[in-house]
Amino acid sequence: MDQRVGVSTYSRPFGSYVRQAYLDGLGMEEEGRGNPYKFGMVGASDTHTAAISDNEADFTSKVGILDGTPEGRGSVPLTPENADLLANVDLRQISVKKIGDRYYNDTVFKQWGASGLAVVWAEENTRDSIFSAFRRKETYATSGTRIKLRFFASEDIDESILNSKTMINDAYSKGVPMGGDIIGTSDNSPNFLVWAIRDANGGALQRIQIVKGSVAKMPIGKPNEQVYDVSCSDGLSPDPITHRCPDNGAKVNLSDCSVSADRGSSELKVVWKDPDFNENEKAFYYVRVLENPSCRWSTWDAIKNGHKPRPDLQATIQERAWSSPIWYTPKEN
Amino acid sequence: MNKKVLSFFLIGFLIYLFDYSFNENEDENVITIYDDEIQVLIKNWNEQVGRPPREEDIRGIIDQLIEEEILYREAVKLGLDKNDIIVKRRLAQKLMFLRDSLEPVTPTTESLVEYYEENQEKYLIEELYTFSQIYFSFSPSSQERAKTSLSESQNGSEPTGGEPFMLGKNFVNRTKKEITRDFGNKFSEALVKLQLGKWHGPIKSSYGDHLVILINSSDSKQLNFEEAKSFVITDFLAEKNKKNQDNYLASLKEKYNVVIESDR
Repeated sequence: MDQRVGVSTYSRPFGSYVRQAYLDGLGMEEEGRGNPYKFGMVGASDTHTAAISDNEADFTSKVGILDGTPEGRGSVPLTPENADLLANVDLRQISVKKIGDRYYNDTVFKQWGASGLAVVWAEENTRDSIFSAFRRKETYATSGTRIKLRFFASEDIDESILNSKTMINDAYSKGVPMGGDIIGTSDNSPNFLVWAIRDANGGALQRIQIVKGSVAKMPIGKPNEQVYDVSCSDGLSPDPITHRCPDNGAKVNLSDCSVSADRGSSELKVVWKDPDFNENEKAFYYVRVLENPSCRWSTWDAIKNGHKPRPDLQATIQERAWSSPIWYTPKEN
Repeated sequence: MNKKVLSFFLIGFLIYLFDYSFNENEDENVITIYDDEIQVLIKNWNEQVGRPPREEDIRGIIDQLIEEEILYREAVKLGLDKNDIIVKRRLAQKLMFLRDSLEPVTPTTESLVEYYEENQEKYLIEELYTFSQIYFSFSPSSQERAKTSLSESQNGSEPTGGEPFMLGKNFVNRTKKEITRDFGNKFSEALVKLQLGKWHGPIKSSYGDHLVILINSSDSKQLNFEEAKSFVITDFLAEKNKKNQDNYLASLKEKYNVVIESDR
């Protein structure tokens, strides 16, 4: 996406994406200063209401009174009385925008999304086990959807693992899970195993991506990043040159938020090798799993209240999950 | 006359000596740090950082403690603790915590039983299902493959085939709500109606087709007092503490008159 969600300002990858921090960390490590940005991924809410609101279709509020109604959040037009009332309020947090013949509350609330979730791969549901998983960064984040995601790297696995009923045991014994480190032993790319299934009550999966960041050896030290589509839904394959999946044609009906039932996959799994692998460069790899597009909360609000979606807001989003990275370190270091 | 003056001086001097010897530690410019205070801080540091502090770290810990104490005393001298909402909140909290610990609630068995009987609905366990499943991922042939696998299994033995399923094969003591969350509504509706101890299917989930054997299902169950006791104690104490706090606040409120003014 080239724009930030909910506003028309352009997305600025530099400094505002997590991969920047991971890259900066690698750069510092390459300069011999150590990597202070070796952290795992979790999603959360930042709501101020002592409640989680993680479902776009049932988004309630983030701060309480001010955004507790669709009118307050700016997703439906203000009633004439409220438009008059707000026009005379002199508060920095409140402004009114006229679109066509309608007035909307125009605040920062319109950019927010429903809460994210933190996911932990722990052996059992105990405090010790869960905290250990956090320590080894075997965690992932979602935008609120309940996608299940596995990610491993190993020199010793191949595609046959994908149909093995002992896949996860094999992956643990032969490789490292998300959050882990892998040290180079040859000049070949490690094999990355990614396995994702959809939220049983959410949207279908559109694609799996791997985000790679690497830093050229000193004295060059130049950072590089690349996003690869590694598995596509509906039996499609990524283009070997552009590394992008073809459009699967999934659509959202903005009059009722229904989605194409026959598009997208319930499960995607792949063993992937980095086509641009350089065994001498430090690198990180993390997974991003995208769902088919679905209605954003602002669209749900509008439909439920009998209005058209507000034209200057994004009508749909793509729910997603982000894994903690696996870091690759060359043998020599 | 001179003697009288002298005796005043003497008495004054004695009072001074008395005051000095008893209040030496409270001299406002002396900061005393006790060893156990430092030990607690070292332990905390260790837990937060994940290794024991080195000598310079310990020095840092003590320096920080001293600086904090000095700043605190200076702030109190300047009256900065007055009219500060955070200080107020903290003190109010502290009073309530202290009050709780001064008046610990020790429940008798009779009071617990009474509480249990009044709140039985809290100690109801939902229906629980234990099952195994074999997974055939969505494809035009998945239903057919599942059917073939089931029909080929002999004498109710476990069907062969299927694919790895991310959530595993065996599910023990799950509520219907949990099953719906993991497999979707259609699957859980079908599962709860299955006959025990026999492979069935294919049943559709959000992921594809499944062959399923329901191994055990337990009815929803009212825990008796003994089974529920540990939960009852927790709930009872929470409620009792809340009541005590409310009473305490109510008794304090009686002492105060509240006036709301438009101007200071």
